[in-house]
Amino acid sequence: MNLAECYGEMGADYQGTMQRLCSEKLIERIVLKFLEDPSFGQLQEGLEMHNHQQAFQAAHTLKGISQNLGFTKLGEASAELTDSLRKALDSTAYVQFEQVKTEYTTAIRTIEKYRAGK
Amino acid sequence: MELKEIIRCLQNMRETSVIAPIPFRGEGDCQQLIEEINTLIMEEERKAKMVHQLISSGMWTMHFNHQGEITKVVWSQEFRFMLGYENRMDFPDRLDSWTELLHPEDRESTLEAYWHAVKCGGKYDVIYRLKTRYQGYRWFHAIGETLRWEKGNPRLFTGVFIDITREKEQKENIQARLEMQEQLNEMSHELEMNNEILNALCEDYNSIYIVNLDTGKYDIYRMTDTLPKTVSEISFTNQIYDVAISQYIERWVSENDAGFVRYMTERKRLKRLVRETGRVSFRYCIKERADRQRHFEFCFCDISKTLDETVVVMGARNIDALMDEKEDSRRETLEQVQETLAGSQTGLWSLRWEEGKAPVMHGDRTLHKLMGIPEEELSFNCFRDWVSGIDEKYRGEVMEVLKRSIANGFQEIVYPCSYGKKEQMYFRLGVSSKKNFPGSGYRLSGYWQDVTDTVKDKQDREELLKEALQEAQQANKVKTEFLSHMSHDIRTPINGILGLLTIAENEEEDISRQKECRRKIRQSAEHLLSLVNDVLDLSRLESGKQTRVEETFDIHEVLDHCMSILLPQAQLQQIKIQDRREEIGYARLRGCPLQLRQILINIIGNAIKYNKECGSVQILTKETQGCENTVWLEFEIKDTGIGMKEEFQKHIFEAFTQETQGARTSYAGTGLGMAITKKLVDQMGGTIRLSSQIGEGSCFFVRLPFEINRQENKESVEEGQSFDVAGMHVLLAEDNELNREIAQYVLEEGKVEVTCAANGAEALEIFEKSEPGEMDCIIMDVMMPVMDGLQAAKEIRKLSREDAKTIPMIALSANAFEEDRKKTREAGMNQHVSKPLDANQLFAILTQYKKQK
Repeated sequence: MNLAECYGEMGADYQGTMQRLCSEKLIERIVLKFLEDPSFGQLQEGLEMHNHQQAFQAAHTLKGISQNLGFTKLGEASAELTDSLRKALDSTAYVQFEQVKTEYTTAIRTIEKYRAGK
Repeated sequence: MELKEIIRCLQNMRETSVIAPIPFRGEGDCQQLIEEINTLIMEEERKAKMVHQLISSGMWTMHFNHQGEITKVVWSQEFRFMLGYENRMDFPDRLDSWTELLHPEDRESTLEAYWHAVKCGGKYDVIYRLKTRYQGYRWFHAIGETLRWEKGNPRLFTGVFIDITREKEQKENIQARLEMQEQLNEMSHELEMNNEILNALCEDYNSIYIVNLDTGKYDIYRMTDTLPKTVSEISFTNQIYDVAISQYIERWVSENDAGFVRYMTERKRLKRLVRETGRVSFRYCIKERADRQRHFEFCFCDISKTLDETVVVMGARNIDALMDEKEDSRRETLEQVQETLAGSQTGLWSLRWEEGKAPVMHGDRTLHKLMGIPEEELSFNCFRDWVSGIDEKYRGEVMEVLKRSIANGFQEIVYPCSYGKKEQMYFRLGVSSKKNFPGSGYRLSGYWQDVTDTVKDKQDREELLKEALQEAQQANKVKTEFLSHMSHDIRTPINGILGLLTIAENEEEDISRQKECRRKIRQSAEHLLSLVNDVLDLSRLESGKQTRVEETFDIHEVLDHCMSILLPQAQLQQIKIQDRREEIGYARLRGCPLQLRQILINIIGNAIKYNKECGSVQILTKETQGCENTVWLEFEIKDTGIGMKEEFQKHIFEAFTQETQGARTSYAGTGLGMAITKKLVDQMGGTIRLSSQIGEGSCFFVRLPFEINRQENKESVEEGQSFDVAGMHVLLAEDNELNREIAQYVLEEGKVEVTCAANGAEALEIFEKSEPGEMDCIIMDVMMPVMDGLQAAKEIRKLSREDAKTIPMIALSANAFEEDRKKTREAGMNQHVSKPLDANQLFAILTQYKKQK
């Protein structure tokens, strides 16, 4: 599997990202590093601990990274959650979190698969 | 008698073929039986004899013993008679009687067959010839059979000979006849073929006759249907050659040819001729006919078999087609010749020259055309017309040439002439005289050719050569002058330097003097150097070795550059420079900015140099539209200088011309500046002129064409992005590791130096610690922990260091609403860039801030 296919499999935008960042090497490096990024963990923890600030910041960060890397689906889900959390930490957020989780899991699995195939 | 005895007797009779009465001692019945048998036998024998006689056959019988040896041979009487023998005396009953008679050719095969039949068995069926006594060889067919003993040896060999001579002969006759028939068929076929060929060959011929030239009689071999009746009538009614021919000539042959034909067909003459040559043919014309047939040919061929009589085949045929062909081809050839001559402007003429008489000249069509005489006026004698056109000075010579050709053969001359309204032409005349001309006087013939072009070409070329020679001589002169000027101008500063060195040597202790000398020496050396450079420039320009490098440039930049070079000098002399630029539609152009600068600096430099104290130089630059993609830049450089005399103005662009008075520097330049300028302007396809008044000033006008650089926009956009940011130092504040890494990587790819901060507070700290001007730009994420970007920006702006207020700050934000932008502006940040990060956008923004630096 190559990077473009990996992106395709998780519904991410490879072309757009290449246009913005111009370097496949950079994209790959960051994508692999994404596996270690703590933002999702922090988000999950924040929600579990009812830490509004942490959850919001983590969601915001996750959104930023997703958008930067062109992870469209994850980005959109994170954006929605961030907006919700901007206002309040309530049930909507938790529901939206589930979507984020799904997308995040897909992304991680795909990236791991990509890493294994290298 | 017993039955056994009877049988024995019978057997004996059979064997010997002798009929003998059987001694009878038996009873009456038996005797009667025997008598009857006897009668029967005799009857049979008579029958057999009859048969033999009827079919001309005979018999033989050979007896063999047990050992296979012949014991008895019996030839039948009939056989004997057949062979012409009478009895046993002349034809004994022996085998060799027969074998001796065998035809040598048949002997071997027959005997072989005989032995084969006798020894081995099998049918005996042979045909052979036997020599008869009186009739020569005759053919016999022998058929026989062999009876054998128990053990297989032959016991009895008997058979029949049949004389088959007649049948054989008959067969041979039939065979011969068949062969002959075949031969006849072949011959007939051949004859038919020959006949067909002959017919095909003589299709042409209307009529063919066999004429006996001795007897004068003829036979008609062939006459086509198309022959007019009167001709065929003649042929039929008269079988006498002389008469028929005479009638034919009278009726049919044209008057012109009648005599000729009569002569040619005269029998005695014809006989002699045909004997000699084998074939005589001649052509003639017939009288006018409705069907327009005209040309005919008679042909006589000798077919005599013996010397005694002359027989010919005579044929007559129509040859109109042949004649037409000939006529056509002749006409064609003639036309071709005419065409060729006309095409090469050559006319043919012939001249008849008799003592005491005016020469008579005939010329062909081309000739008259060359003389300008229209076809309708083709004159009989064009001699006078011709001579009148010859240039007076050459007439005598031309006549001489004609005369010379009579004695010396072919002559040629080129002379000028003019005919009619035409301007001067040149003709080449070639003439030769006809030797052995019957009659008095001379016959000359020749050609004229219009060689005006050739001659004119030659003249032109000679002119050009002369001009080129003159130019070369002139150039040489100029070069010599230049060299002498130059030598003087080079010697002067060198002498100056030597002089100063002497002074310096003599006044070693005087430090200020030394300094003074050194300064002046430097001045001189610099002047010398610039002189040499100028000379090189000029020589390169003149030799055309200057390679022009076209590039895009900005006219404003060029002018600015010139200004920056010249302003200091102007300031020194307290001269004001006014730099006006009007109507510059297209600033970005394509051309040679280097040379443009050189021209401007030269002219403006002079304007400053030769100016009054506190004078001014006004420069006006205008752009006007040229055709298509070009514009003209017009420079007007006016000075309040000393002006130039009119005389000097004429030579200003020549090398080494200077009006040395009034120049404000001790050395008045190299004197080559204007020459170089002029050459450059010329090379660039422009114009330069001046006007000047002594005491008031001079004004130079320069006009140069340039191509509009339309690529401008695209180029600058493409160029800007990646490389203009190289060398910039950026402070990057971003809390998220991943985002920071992305930004850092992208910036470093553009050769930007990146210092990272994890939040606003760190960024503030780093900036405070940095040198003023060290950082070119700060890029900050807005959302950061500890201190966000906006706060950090505010704090930075508050700092007292000089770049705190000016350093460009770019906000990276996920939010791009107007409100957010407002916030970043209020925080003192210069630009708001929304995420996600776009490398090109970032570089574009950075480039802006680099330029402003």
